[in-house]
Amino acid sequence: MAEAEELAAADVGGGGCDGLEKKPVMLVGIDDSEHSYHALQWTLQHFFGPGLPQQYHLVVLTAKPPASSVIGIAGVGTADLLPTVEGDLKRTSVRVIDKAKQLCTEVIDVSYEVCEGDARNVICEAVDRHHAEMLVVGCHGYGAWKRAVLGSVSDYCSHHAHCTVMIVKKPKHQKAEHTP
Amino acid sequence: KQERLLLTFDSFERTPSLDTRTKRIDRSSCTVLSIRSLTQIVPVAPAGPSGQNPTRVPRLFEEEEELRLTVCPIQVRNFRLLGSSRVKESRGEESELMAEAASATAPEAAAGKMTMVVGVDDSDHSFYALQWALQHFFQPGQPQQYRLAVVTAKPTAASAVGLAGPGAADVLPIVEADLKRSAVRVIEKAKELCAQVSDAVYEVVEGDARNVLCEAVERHHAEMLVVGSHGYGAIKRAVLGSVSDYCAHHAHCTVMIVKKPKHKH
Repeated sequence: MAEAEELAAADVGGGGCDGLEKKPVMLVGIDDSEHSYHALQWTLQHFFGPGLPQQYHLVVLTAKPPASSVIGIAGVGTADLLPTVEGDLKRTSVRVIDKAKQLCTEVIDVSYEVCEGDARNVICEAVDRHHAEMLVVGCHGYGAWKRAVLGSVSDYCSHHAHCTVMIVKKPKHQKAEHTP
Repeated sequence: KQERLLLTFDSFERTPSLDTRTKRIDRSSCTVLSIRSLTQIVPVAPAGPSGQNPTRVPRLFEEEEELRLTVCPIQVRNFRLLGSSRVKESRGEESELMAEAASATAPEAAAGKMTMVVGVDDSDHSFYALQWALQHFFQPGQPQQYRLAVVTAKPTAASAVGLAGPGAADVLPIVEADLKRSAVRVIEKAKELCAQVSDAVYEVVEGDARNVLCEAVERHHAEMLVVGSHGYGAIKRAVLGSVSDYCAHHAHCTVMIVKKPKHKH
């Protein structure tokens, strides 16, 4: 039962004050993987590209799993490990957000969030909280077995999020990339 | 400049089945024609004006020589053949080739635009997804960055009736005609909705929706696939199968699943 708590206050980059026009919210869920960064870049390229009118308020969200869930599987004698793991997870999520900030330099209207909890629930709750119109997630490209064992966040989100879900895949072989 | 010819068969089932990658011919039917000098095959919508019409399957060949086509009644795909030659069935019947004035737009030859495939069927969820896509990507005032391809899948009558049981042979033509009408109606409605889209193609492809959509993505080299979602729960998904789920896993491009909101915010 993971509860979402906002650890870092939403850090608003750029003058995104939402009093004037209520832009629809696009939520991008990322973690520390290539697939996620690719999804973020894809989104930026298609919706926040140089020539395009930026119609969305972008929210970049990463989920920090609670330390207890990560160690819980490991077994006994883990009380000492807890602070170390906790610190490491925090550093990871900060790094993820920093990298996202670097990628999103061109976006006018963006905010970044780190929430604690299981990625699936965090994302679905964030969708409800922001009343997001669209959710973008990357996809690890697991096969059926891996999905069953590890669980797929994109799968869960596509079923349970209350908005349009866009699943961005990293192509295994690059086809001719069309650039706008 | 290549001319397009139409190859007419006299029944809907006799559509050629070809493996485009290996250029192998699937020979599982009684009427066998083999193909030589096969250059490009593109699946296409049969969309005849009325149910009685024979399937028109245009075909592309490069050389003008005698070609033989393999016809497989069981196979589910329709192929668009763009080309010209004389086709002779192995049984001695000749199929007529009719020349069609080619407006020459191959699907991939669009002017550098990205293609978006939208899968529709005859349900509210699909049309909602189409409208959502139009509203977000093809607004009237803005330059349209995408080519739109609206694809609907027409299930084969055999698959639809197969579950029904014995005595299905009489029902088959009726079911077939009904499925065709349904597919045509879907496309007509889609055309109405997409009236202001400058660059749109509409296709009806025969087969199971899951495969049809994934193939359409490959064929158009689409950047994005948009599908609606029936919103099934876990059990319905397992029993009926979910097209959006399958596409989310197997399409080789970004998949957007548009949900019809149960309650508006």
